Amino acid sequence: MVHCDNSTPMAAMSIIYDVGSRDEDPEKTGFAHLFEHLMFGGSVNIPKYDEPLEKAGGINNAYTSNDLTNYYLSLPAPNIETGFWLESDRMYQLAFSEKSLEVQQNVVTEEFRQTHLNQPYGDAWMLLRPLAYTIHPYRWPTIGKEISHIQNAVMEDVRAFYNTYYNPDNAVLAVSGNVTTTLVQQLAEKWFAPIENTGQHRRNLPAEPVQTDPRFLEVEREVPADMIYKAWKMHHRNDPGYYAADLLSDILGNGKSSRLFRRLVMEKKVFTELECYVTGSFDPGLLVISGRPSEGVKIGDAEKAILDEVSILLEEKPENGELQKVKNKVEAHLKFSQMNVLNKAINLAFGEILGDAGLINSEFEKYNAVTKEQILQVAGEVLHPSKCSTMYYLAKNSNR
Amino acid sequence: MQHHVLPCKKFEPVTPEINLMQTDLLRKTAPQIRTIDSIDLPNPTHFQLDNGVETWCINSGEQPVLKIDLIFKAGSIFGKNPLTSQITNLCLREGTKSYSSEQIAEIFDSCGASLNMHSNRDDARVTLFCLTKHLNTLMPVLAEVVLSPIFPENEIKTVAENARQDFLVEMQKVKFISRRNFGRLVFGNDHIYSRYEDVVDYENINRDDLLGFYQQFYESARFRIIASGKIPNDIRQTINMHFGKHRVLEQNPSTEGTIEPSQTTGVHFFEKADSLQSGLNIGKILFNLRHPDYNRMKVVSTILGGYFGSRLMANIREDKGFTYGIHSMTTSSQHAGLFHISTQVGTEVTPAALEEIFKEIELLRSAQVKKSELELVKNYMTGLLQQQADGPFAQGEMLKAMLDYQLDYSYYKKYLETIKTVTIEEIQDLAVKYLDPNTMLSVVVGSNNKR
Repeated sequence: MVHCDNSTPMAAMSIIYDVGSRDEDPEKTGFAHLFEHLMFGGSVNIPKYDEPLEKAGGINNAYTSNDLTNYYLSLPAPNIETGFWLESDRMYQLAFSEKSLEVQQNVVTEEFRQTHLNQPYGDAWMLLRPLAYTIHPYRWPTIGKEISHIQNAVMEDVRAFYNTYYNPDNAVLAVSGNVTTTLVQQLAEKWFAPIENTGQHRRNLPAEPVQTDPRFLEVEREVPADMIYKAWKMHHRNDPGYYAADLLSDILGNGKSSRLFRRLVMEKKVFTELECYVTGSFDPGLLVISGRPSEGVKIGDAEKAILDEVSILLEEKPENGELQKVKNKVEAHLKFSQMNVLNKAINLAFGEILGDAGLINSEFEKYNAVTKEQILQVAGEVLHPSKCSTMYYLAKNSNR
Repeated sequence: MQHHVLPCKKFEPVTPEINLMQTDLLRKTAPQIRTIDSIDLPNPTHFQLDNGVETWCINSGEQPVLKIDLIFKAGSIFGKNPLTSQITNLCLREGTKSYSSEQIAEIFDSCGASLNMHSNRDDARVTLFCLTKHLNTLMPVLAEVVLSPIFPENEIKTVAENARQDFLVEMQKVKFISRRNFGRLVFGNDHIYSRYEDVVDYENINRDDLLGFYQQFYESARFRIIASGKIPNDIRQTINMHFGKHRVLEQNPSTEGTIEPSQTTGVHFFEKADSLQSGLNIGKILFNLRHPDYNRMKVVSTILGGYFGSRLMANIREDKGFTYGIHSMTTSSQHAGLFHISTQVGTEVTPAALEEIFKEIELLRSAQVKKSELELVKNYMTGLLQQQADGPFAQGEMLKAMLDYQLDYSYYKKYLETIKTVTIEEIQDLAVKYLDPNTMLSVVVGSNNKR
């Protein structure tokens, strides 16, 4: 995919591989992300990925989610071929260096500590996921279930993973910026067309059974204040109901005028922090409300305050103005997300891996078509007590 | 009123030479690259409002969006309580003469706009992001927020309490504690930049202080406006109508307190029980961007730890695996500048990491950097400058950074020139002159019982 934009001297490239932590072996979790680190450990013709890119004035990074792995870079447009050369070579043949594997196992271990273990509330999602998902691989986080899974990875796993997933027919490529379509086509033919598929994978993930009873978990940690997490099962990213459910979450918790923030933080002062958001995952996802009750507020009372707001949405359609407001927020958000070449490339590639690169243009229409009746309907479907997983994340020695 | 048609920059599409020969041999050789010789920034339009407030407009980009930045000299160095500046800034949107906190939130959200409040040591900012089509709806409310806030008791309490809870969470993070302790020790207790908040400061926030701070540093203070994005042709008139009519003083009040740093050196350890990682901050007082060596020192700092392939990253992360990331940087504020390395490393490898960091500093001093390494860093830094100039909002930020020092975009030409001409000899001389390990302060926050 190409997007030509002559308002900038830059160009950007995003290449998304259709593999995420949901594709991992339950005994070898965190592997897709570890592998992403190894993609920077050199390819067969280029010993160091970063050096030539930095020399060309470029920057790059990558991320792994439960659903996909995205590698992206941006650089001065005249040097765009350097991007093609680098990305195609690591798709063509990785170097598989033992030293790189060993070092990145340590780096990812430190990342695990830095982001999940040595942070207040850092392990919350490691606990919430297996509560909400019983068999679907969303039950573990992208970083992995535990450090030992990272430490136990061996080169054989790395090769097998690469051969299965890092293939041209398992990837999409988007280029944006001061380029022409002809140029990008020639470069794509030159660098990517000769690469052959080395394997094939057919995704066959266990479907999460419909949740029929509320679930509850309580943990205690050394944190300054309690937190509550409530996660309801919701539609997958391509389900038509996704857009209504996303707007529902915005009505509840997006922005300072949202219902939860206004009533429970500013007015009743039940919470000092409270948000509502959706995971937006490719398989059925979660609508989450998470909040930090105010000092002296019992967590059970705080939960009841959330449920009172939820029950209003189950009974009454939102006003036209309120629905229009969250639609306007989406419209602005989409426009702001196309402010630089890199975001444009990433948005295009993301849409395509989801099934339609045109999503970048059509997505707002899908939000805009949602009616208040649909909000009421989707609230009834999603915000059902039997589909909710609740976690009390309690502060040790708190005065609750 | 004069109506401007603002210029909007376009670039020629690139047509690099492509060698279309398809052989595997080709993969061994890097494609030709072009280095950047100049940076193209759109010329901002500059004008004064009726009351003398300086305004800049940058019209660029493809999206119909706009950012309006109101920048006040109202950072934390101007308050007695280190939090007065921040809480005053946050409470501007919590109620005005004509609108309640709820109404303000409702109006901005209804347009899908966001109103961001931000303050640091030197400045406080109020920033509006919106679709250009909503500008006229939002400008009157933006003006109210800045010119007629009433600081309601109830909202102040909530804002201060929520911020206090955030602070308590931050104080559990070794990164945060380390940065704070480093700041205190590097500037010395009396310096205006070492005013860090404690829990008690949140409890001492009161309406009178906020109101007093507002009257002194906002109400009739001289401030700056930067508008960037897709700018309507009548922007000058619009801004003048809302922000050009009130009286503005010639001179803002200055800060009380010392700007002479008294830096501590040596390694300082702070216990954070059972921590799995240590938060490290290593560095010293240097100078800000007014100093003639500032840009060249940026090159030195980039070689050491300013990019992914830097020496610190290559050693501490990519060779030893001690950390998820390590960075060095030079930072510039109005009254001081720092050279500064920060990282989080595993508790058990903390002494080894410190040793390696100082080895890398010594190496920069004892041996000349290779030509190829300096070449790469130069290309990286010029490329990065172009990246930083991508998009109207980014260009607005670059302009702001210059205005803080009474400079303009021409600074970036000099910056580019300095990067292109700095020599390997100069790099070593600078490292010898400024990066003596004996002059450095190291702050380690972590757990001793596991080491």
